[in-house]
Amino acid sequence: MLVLQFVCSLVLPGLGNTAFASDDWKNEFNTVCGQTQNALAFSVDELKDLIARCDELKPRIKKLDDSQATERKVFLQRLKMCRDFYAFALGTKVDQQ
Amino acid sequence: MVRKVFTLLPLLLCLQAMFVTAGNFPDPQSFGLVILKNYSPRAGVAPVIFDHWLHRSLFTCRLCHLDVGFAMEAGETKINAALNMQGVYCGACHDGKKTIGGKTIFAACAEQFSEEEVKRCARCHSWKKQGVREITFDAFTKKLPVGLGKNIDWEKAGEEGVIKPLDFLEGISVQYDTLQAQQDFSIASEADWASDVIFSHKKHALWNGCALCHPGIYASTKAGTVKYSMLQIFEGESCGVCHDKVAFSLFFCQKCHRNPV
Amino acid sequence: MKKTLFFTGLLLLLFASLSLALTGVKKRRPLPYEYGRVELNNFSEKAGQIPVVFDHWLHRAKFTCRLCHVDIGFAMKAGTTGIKAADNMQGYYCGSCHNDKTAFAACTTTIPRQNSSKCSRCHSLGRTAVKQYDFRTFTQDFPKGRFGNGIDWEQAEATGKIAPIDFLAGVSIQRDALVVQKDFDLIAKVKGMPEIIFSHKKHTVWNGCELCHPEIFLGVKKGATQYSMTEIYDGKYCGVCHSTVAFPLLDCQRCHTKQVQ
Repeated sequence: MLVLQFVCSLVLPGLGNTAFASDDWKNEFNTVCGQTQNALAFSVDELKDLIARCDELKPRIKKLDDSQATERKVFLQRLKMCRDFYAFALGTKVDQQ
Repeated sequence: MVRKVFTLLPLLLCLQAMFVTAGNFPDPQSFGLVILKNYSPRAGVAPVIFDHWLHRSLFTCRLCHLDVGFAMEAGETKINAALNMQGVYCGACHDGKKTIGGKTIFAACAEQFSEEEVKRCARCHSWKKQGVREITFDAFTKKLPVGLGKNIDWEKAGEEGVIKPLDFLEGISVQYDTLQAQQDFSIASEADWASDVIFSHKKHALWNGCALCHPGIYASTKAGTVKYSMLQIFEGESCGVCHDKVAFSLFFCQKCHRNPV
Repeated sequence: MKKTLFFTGLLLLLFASLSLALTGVKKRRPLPYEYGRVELNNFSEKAGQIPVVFDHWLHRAKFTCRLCHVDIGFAMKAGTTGIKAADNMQGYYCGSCHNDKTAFAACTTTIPRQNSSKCSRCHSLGRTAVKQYDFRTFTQDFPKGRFGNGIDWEQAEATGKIAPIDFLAGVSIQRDALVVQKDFDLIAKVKGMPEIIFSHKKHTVWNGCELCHPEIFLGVKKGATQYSMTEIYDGKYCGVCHSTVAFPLLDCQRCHTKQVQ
């Protein structure tokens, strides 16, 4: 799937981005933010990695065009809650050490 | 000259306070009387006369104003017949089923009623009606101790056990551990001619619990953070929410200002 | 001259004090079916519609707090989400469920005349809306509580009267079960006031993690943040929910449970 997408993005940059990118960021969002309930069991490095992935997701969601304004708004809000919680969990970890 | 007027200021404020309350400095029987007429006139019935004296001899303030949920300001609750029939407000007790002292409590409000039952309506909807009450003030309060201004000394009545206000209503109240009352404290009087106030948490918590006063009436719990003025109190703020309306009048200064200077 | 000034000042003071008399603190509490009610009018009136009345009681009986406030993304402060008809029609916010499949559709661009009653199921401020669910019938056999909706929601779930859904297909992310954090004590500053035992378990079952942290509770280290009742009453911390939707702050001893020896 990823390979196909990669090829697509090379061959048909415009099409590739719109056809696959939307699923792509959503999958990434689901993977990253579907783990908040385990956050306190993660190591400092794992948490830092998750936060970095959130930060990397943000501009991708921001880039959604105005026809997807609501989707953008909702997911930026959800991403913020998720990222902030990982940062909170990280703070707790660091404090405990 | 200005200074002289300033020394007169407390007196002037007192005069204003009297002006504010002068119209309703009532006789012991009417003290604590509330007229409820949010919906009565529109519904074609006489306004309700609610006497605090009867209810306060049977129930704590907390029970009605916190658990049952009557607002502390007259006319604010917006009680209507439908709500009473659903068991809210008056209907919480006045449901025709609950009993007190072996007597069934009559039901408040009804969808339909026979001519005979009209008498029951008039037990509460009694504005400008004579002789409709089953329990009269004189007969009821005969055994109660009398205090200043020929008013009933409720505190004494409670202490002597003449009244034993109920604090728990089945199905509505929740039983918690009794909390130890907070300490008494004094509130310094700003005027050199008035003694400091000694506030007794114990006396107040007995019938009011905690949440009736905090934070609705007294938001801050830190002593000294809020300045109270008699002016505001006379107008129904802080102590004035109850005192002068239901609890003893503000004109009995020394009942609160009792710490010798 | 000074004298005139003084008397003008005095007059002003009198007026100010009289106007103070009009503002009270003892307002009516919301009735059981009104508690948790939110009026939404960011765009309704501008669009020629009646504002929306949202009742928490029905939705909280069916869904967890987390589902709507994390997964669907409704803000925790009334009026801050800025929901538009277009959002709903695209399947966001109300439209996440109100899509004509899960529940009746929220908002449409074409309103058939005979069907405009559909709009008024939500757009109902000041109207007696014909609702599918009647509060009293719906909550009839729920365990009773003292304040708020008059329902003990915690007990309602424990006894199986409600089973709030925590997953919405297409919106929620499939997650592992949550590992519950430990309960902890919060020591009251006021002497004699029972300590609070905060139950993470009770809170996370409906809220998950990120609904409260870090937005509402930032304090990471136990004891680092001092919570004051004044701030809580102002709608901060516990007050975000426990004065709007969850049982209100009047119920002191429901949180202050651990009797100090």
